[in-house]
Amino acid sequence: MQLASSLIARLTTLYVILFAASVAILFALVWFVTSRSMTAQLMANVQREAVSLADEYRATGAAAAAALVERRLQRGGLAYYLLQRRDGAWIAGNIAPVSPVLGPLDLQVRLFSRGEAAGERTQGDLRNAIGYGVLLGDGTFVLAGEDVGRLQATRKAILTAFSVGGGVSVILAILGGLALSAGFLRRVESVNRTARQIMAGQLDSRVTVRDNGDELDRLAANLNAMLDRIQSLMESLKQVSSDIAHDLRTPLARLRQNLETAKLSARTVEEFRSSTDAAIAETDALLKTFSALLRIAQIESGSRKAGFARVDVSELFELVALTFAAVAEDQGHQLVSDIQGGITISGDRELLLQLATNLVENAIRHTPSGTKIEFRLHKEMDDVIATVVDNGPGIPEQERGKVLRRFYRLEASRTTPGSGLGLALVAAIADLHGAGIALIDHGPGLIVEVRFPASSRSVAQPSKNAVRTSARIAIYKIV
Amino acid sequence: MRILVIEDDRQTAQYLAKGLRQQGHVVEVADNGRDGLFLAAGEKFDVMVVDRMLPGLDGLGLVKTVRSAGVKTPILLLTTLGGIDDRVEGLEAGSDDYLVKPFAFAELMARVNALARRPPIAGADTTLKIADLEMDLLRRKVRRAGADIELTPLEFKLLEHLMRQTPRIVTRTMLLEQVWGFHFDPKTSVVETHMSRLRGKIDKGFACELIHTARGSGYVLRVPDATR
Repeated sequence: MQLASSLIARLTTLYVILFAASVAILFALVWFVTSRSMTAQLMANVQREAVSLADEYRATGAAAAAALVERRLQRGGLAYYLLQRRDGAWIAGNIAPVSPVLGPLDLQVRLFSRGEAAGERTQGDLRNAIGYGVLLGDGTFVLAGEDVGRLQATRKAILTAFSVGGGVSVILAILGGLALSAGFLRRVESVNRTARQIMAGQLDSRVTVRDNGDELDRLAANLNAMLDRIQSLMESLKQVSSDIAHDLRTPLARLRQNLETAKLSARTVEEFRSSTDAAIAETDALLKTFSALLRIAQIESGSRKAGFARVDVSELFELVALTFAAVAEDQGHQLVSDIQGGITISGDRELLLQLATNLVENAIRHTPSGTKIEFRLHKEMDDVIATVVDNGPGIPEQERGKVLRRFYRLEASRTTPGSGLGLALVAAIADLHGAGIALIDHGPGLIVEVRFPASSRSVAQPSKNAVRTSARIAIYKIV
Repeated sequence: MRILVIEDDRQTAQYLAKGLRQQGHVVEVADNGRDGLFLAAGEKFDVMVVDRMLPGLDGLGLVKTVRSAGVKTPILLLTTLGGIDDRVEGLEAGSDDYLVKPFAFAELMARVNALARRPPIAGADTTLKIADLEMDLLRRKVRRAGADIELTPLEFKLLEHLMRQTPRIVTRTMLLEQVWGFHFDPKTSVVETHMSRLRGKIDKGFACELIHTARGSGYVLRVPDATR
């Protein structure tokens, strides 16, 4: 949890910094824009007043101008006015005379009044102001000014507003950051918890999915799908390991028996030889089983795909037909072939040869004498279809999915020699080529159909093709 | 023959050396890649039997090095890797044949013999003749004692292979590989079936049998009197 807490702290800090920075930028902008426009407005006002006062003076003389100043001071004017003579003597206004400066100026003023009783006097402190001065032809100086206190008050208000707002934002950011990152981490922690449960052996544990479709949810769904896949692979691996262990016990027991016989009860060289020959035969059978298993594993690893090339399957199937017609005949079967010429697919020649061989041999070995076997290859639309049809006993429907599994053997064929790997190998080869296998009832008999779809003949995409039985090859994929 | 065995497993090396010596060959054994390479490059051998996995220098690397040094001695590669790609890799590296452990000694012997006396590529041969058996490769016709014999294309191929290898033994596996292109074990008696049909056509009705079954599950085509 330490890592999680530090992540919370980091995320929250980041959140707060971002919030504070955005508030600060906003503040600076408002501050700058407001000050500028207020200053400009004030300046325009003071200039207008100063100029109009000067105009009045020029037009009507000092007395009228002084009267105008008084009127303005009493109602609706600016904060400060001053009319002074060339020698600096005060004429009218409410501030003390200053040394004349023309145009806009920042200045500090002191209130000034000339009462009849009190005489001239200044009042109060210096105040900050901006003003506009005009010097007339006779040396009279006119000044209109405005207190900047209003500007400062506005600035202060802005500052206060932003301080309070910023503070509240930061607090909200801290709370929000904590809440968001804690929520995020809670979900990460749920993934962690699931991972720990699985590590502890609880393999069916899964990450909770909230069904709101966000990224974390999709991550959880993907993790679950991955776990499902791994679990099914592990189960099939477990299944295969126990199948291997189970199926190899019998030949190993027979091997041991042969060796024991040779050791204990063989009296003549002939007897000894026959026991050891039998032992060697058992060993060979075991080795064959192992090499078939390795071959399946190697095919399933998909590495052979790299060597795919155009294969003339017609020529290849003709060879198989020719080879096994004689074998079938010797065993009392009839093998007829119907092979369309000139069909090529992208694949592995050696493996396709083995696929055809296994299918035909399977039909020969697991049907009674007198069975008619048909071996066909043809094109349907753009799919290439290889079919082996027999009129033998067939495979019960509920068993059809299982015969593609390693070591699976029908009750009826338990006694015939074989490893139960032939069809598993066919399934692996078909899958490598993106082909689907269908086992169909032929009433009586069995149709095995391998369909190489047109689309996947160049780019094999295993397990995407609809097959008519529930026999999904992918289920048995391991290693 | 002078045979070089490069094999690190002592038991296998002894088994090979003993068997080959019993057949009358002179055998040198190297138990690692470096010594093997030294012998292979420095001395003259008729055949080399090389294990694929070796300490010092890997078997494949050794074959490549030997070949790039211009040594043309036939090489039989031994391996525990029965994988399909491994065989191709071995042949591509420059070995001439490939045998997966474990194997029967007769199988090894047959392959060593086939390698040692592999004829230089006979381009001009259009007919093969053994005793009164004649094969016309151009017209795909077979005659024995002047009488035409009808063979299926497979039987023709099988007979051609036996005739080219005479008087050497060819094993069932060699026939499967070289005639059928099957690099796997069929579960039915493919070779036996076709061989018995071929014998029926070639030998049946003739006093002198040409095709013989050899001990260790192999076949040989030869004139009985001409044996060693």
